[in-house]
Amino acid sequence: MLLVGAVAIAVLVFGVVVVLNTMVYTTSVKPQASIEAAEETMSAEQAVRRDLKRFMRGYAGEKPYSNQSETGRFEANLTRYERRWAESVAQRTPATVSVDLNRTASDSAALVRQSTLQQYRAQSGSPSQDWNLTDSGELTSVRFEFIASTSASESQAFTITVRNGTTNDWWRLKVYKNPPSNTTIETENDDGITVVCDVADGAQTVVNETAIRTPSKTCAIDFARGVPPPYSVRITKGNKLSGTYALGLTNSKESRLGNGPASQPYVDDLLTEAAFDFTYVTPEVDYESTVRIDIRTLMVPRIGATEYLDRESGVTVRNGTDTNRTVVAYDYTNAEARESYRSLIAPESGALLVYDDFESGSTGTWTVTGGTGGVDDDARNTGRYALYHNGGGDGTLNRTAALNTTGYDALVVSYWAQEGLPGGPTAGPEPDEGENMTLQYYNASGVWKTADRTRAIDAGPPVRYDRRVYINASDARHDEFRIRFVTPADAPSDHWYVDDVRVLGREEG
Amino acid sequence: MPGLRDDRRGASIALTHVLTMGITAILVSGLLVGMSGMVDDQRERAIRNSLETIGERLATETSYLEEMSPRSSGVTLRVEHPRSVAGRTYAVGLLTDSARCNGAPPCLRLHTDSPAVTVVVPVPLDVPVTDATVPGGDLRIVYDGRISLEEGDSA
Repeated sequence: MLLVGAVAIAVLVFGVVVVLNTMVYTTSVKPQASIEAAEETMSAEQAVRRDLKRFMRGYAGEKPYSNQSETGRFEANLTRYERRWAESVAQRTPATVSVDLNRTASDSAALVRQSTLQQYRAQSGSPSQDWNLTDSGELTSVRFEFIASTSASESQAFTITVRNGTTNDWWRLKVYKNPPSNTTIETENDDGITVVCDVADGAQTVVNETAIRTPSKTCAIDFARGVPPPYSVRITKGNKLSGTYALGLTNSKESRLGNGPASQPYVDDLLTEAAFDFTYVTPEVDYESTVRIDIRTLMVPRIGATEYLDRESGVTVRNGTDTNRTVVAYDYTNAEARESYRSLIAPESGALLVYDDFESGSTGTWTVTGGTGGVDDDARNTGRYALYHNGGGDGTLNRTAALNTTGYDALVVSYWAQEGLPGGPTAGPEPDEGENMTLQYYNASGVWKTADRTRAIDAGPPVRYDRRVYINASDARHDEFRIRFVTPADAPSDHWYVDDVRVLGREEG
Repeated sequence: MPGLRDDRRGASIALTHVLTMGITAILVSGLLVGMSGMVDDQRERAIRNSLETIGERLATETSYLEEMSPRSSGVTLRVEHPRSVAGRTYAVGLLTDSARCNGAPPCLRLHTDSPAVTVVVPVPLDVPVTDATVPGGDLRIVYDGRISLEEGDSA
């Protein structure tokens, strides 16, 4: 009996050891809340990223640019979203969520705009206000307008740098406050060549001189004359810019602005990539990240839906019969601003599907219909030759070879164009007003759709365009994609030249 | 009537008890002695298993942190683990020393002193690591450009 009892006790002790051991083991394999929290955090970030993309798409569809007057409403909407999201999360798990726009971390592009809409206009405000511009500071959130009509000290100056995106030439525009008037405005390139700044009382004219004699007048400045676009503009130096300024790049007599404003153009801040600070805090996780939304890929395509818009990438250099007509990129309406914005920030990278520089001296895969045309060396962007159409009737420059663009989310078509050909052996009338050249693409339904339009300027020196067009319309994605340039003409010598045609395919991800 | 020398009735009962108790004692003692060694083996095995489990789980948590790190400027993951295994406290280190990581750094190295049990769990990380050894229990895995291990708030 006792023997049996002893054995039982021993077995019992053994059993206890085994059970305790199992308990210890079990404790360590209990599912951990931290794993679930980490997964929840990543899911939350994904959801916020998705929502912000939708949010920005809606925002970009309404306003393709961000400026000071719009930022308040934008951030108010963001705050509402943040609050709703935080409440939604809090119902599931104890968590603190915040989503804030980080303007410093966001990327912007500068666009010189003009508008009669007061809400888009900005002034530097009270005389004591400092703009706090610093050396090499990129233009990110400052929108400015200069009107040389306030009294100020010449010593308070700043510099705008105009950069030639092709040759990397840098030009400086120095604007001094006015009056008094000596050495108030000057522009120069890095070689020290002074660029004309026409300023006078009434019909202002000052050549290689920098005086503004009348404080109420503005100075028409040819940004980087002789340097082809595209340009970008940034402020590189400045301080204490009190008062109201104007760039003075156009005037109310600028008939080619159509129904555009008579007020001064100004530089606007375009949000190209919005950065949001995302914070997610639970008992298990503290998480901080920056969610970046590339707004360039969210623009609503409006191909063929707008009237003429001179939407150069940055600054347009154009001389009309009136030397005061030098203008910069601008817009009239929101829709056109969207086009302008989209062109300005169209990506420059992608899979190269086509590059035609016509350096073979022949039209190659291009044909010219209507009037005369071909390839010659009277004008070009790079190399020696360019494709041209020479009036005598409406014509087209057709690229006959089709491209398979399926598989790409968007296309970027870039090209150089020149309107008119003064001084050449076949010089003659250039295209008249309204004889604008259009870029068209052949869509999946077999219809030619207009993607871009370069404007014909009557008289004056030839106008050169450097265009970059972003096309993300679904009907552009097919295996018979083609492009052509349509060149209306009513005179034998209405020249249009085209060079360096590129088609890039982009996968936006 | 038998004499006392021949009378075995009372002696038999007593002797039986003595013998039984003796045998029982010997049996129990033998069992206990035998089992104590077995328990020691079991404890060491339990410690090793537990450390391996904790290490694997910690490695998983660390890899989660690494997965979150590319988009993040700062992550802190608070993790709960037993403060002791089989009644023994332990230390856990996130190390980059190849020798201490059995040639596969970085690694998690979990260790108890008595009995001396060491478990090394490789943690393949692309993110830089700051070496640290902390007592086992509640921990914080922190990413601020580098991943490091810290004692938890309630540790």
